[in-house]
Formats: sequence, structure tokens, C-alpha cells
Amino acid sequence: MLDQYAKTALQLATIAATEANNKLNSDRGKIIGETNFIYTHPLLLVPATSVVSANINIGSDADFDNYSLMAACYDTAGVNISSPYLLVQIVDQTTGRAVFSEGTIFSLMAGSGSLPFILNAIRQFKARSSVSITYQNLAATNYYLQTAFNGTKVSYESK
Amino acid sequence: MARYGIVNSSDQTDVIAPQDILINPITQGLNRDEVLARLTDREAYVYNTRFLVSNLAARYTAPKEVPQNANFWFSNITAFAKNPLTGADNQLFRGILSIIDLETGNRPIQVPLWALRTSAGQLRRTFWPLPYVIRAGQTFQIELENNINYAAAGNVDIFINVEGWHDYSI
Repeated sequence: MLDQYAKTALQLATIAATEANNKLNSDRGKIIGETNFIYTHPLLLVPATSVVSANINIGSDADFDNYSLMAACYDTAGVNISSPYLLVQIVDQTTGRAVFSEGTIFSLMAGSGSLPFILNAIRQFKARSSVSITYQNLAATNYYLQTAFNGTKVSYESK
Repeated sequence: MARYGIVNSSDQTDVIAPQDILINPITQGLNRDEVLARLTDREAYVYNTRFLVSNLAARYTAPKEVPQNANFWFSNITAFAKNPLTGADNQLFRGILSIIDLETGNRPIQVPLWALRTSAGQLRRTFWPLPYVIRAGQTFQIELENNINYAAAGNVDIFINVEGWHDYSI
């Protein structure tokens, strides 16, 4: 009897989740293709005590579901800096939505870059979106920065 | 209703004063599947703050307002400390961090900062099997108290991230 209750509860939960997913994807048609992909920007010089932004343009071929963030920092000699004194903010310029409520310290986003920051939920960037990554260098030394978005290109049947 | 606290066994002083463990009004009564079913129309988000801690026995607060059209769910909290003069990591700071749900008065977490400090940001600390939720339009507060066993000299630049997602299915 308990098993039956558990099954019913699971079925109800599955139906609710499906309905919610349908709502989430109401502006999308049926998924026709998914490709793992990493968006990144070229290594960027962020001079001491300055603010510099990079842009990542999402391709026109597919929306991008971002699962995790990766980033690396180097000094001018090419040595990896795992904990630079530097703030990072990421903003989807198309929707105006930021990932952080304010700039976050690099180490809480990326650490050494060898392990990704797995987001608690996906962050979806629409095709042709422009995403800015703003670095605020709080240190007295120059840094080179690179951030990458790890995720999946998702293509839909047109509705 | 339950209570918890942490006591320093060497001198019997309170590290965390005994307090009530309260139940989140939204997750109360729901089973795991029902809660998970509510987590579909979501977008990753991090509420974060920065405190420049400069004096003893002080309390620092940062209110965070959740938008009207989404609930905010979280279970990961991370923290990092820097020396603002040199930019070097600071591992000595021993403040107490609290998250306070200002709608209910709940304090879903109160924890020593060292328990949150990540190893170069590579470890995420999840505190609950299910996330806590701040309801749309409500405000929660990140609070840092640095009056316990403060051992670091000079200022400390503290960064705190509350990692979760906005749920737009409401």
C-alpha cells in the first residue's frame, strides 16, 4: 500500500514538473539538437586598480544553457594566480540580468579554474545574446583574465 | 520545535548560542518530490556582499531584496577573506555569519566563517538536503558578527556568496 502511495506521489510530481517545464519552454519548439560547447573570450589584460570588460556573443545557431563557470588568472609573467584580488560580475546584456547581485571575489567564482563552479541551476542565454564579464582589479599588479561558460547549445524546432 | 547550539568544550562558552530551529513556511509539509517539482522554471543566481571589517565587536548587515516575480532558493554559502592592503588571503578571521529571513524572522543558518571559507573557491558548502526559500518580494539579510575570537590584525575584506536560483514559476 505504501508503495502505491509512493508511486502516486511520484507520478503527481512528474506531471507537475512536466507542466512547469512546458511553461518554461513555452516559447520554444521541440528540441532538435543539443551540443556541448564552451564559450570564452580572449585573454584580457586588466591593469592594476582598473575596471575592464569582455563580451561573449552567443551564436545565432542556438540558445545556450550554461551549467558551470570556469576562469583563470595569470600575472604578466604567465604564472597562474589562483586567488587574485579581483571582483567579477557577469551580465546578460540582452535581458539585463546579472549572475551576481554585486561583483564577487574571483576565488568564490572560479578558484584556480581547474574545477568549474557548477551553478545551482542552469542559466539560459538566448541565441544572439551578448554577455559581459566585468573585472575590477583591486590589486596593485596587472592580471590577465579569461572566463569560460561551460554548457550546451540547444536548438529548437521553430513554432 | 527543536533547539541547537555549539559550546566550546574547553571553557564551556557558547560559540553559537542555543536557538530554535524553525521550519520554512514554504517547504513545510511538502515531500521531496513535491519540492523538486517546484524547481523547474529556475535561473541560477548568487546574492553576495562584501564587508570591510575594521573594528572589534561589530555587526555588519546587508539586506537583499528578492524580486517580486521569483522566489529565491539557496543551500550553498561560501565565503572568502582578504587582506585589503596586500590582497593576500586571510585565513584567521573568525566571525559568525547569519542569514536572516526578514519575513519570518527565521535564521536558517548561523555559522562560523571558517566553516564557509572555500579552498580557492573549489568547494561549495551545502548545508541542507533541501534548499531554503525566500519568497518573492521579501528581504533577507546577510549578517556578520566579528566579536568571537577575533585574531587577525588590521582590516579584513570579507566576501560572502549565497548561491541558488530564482524560481519564476510562481
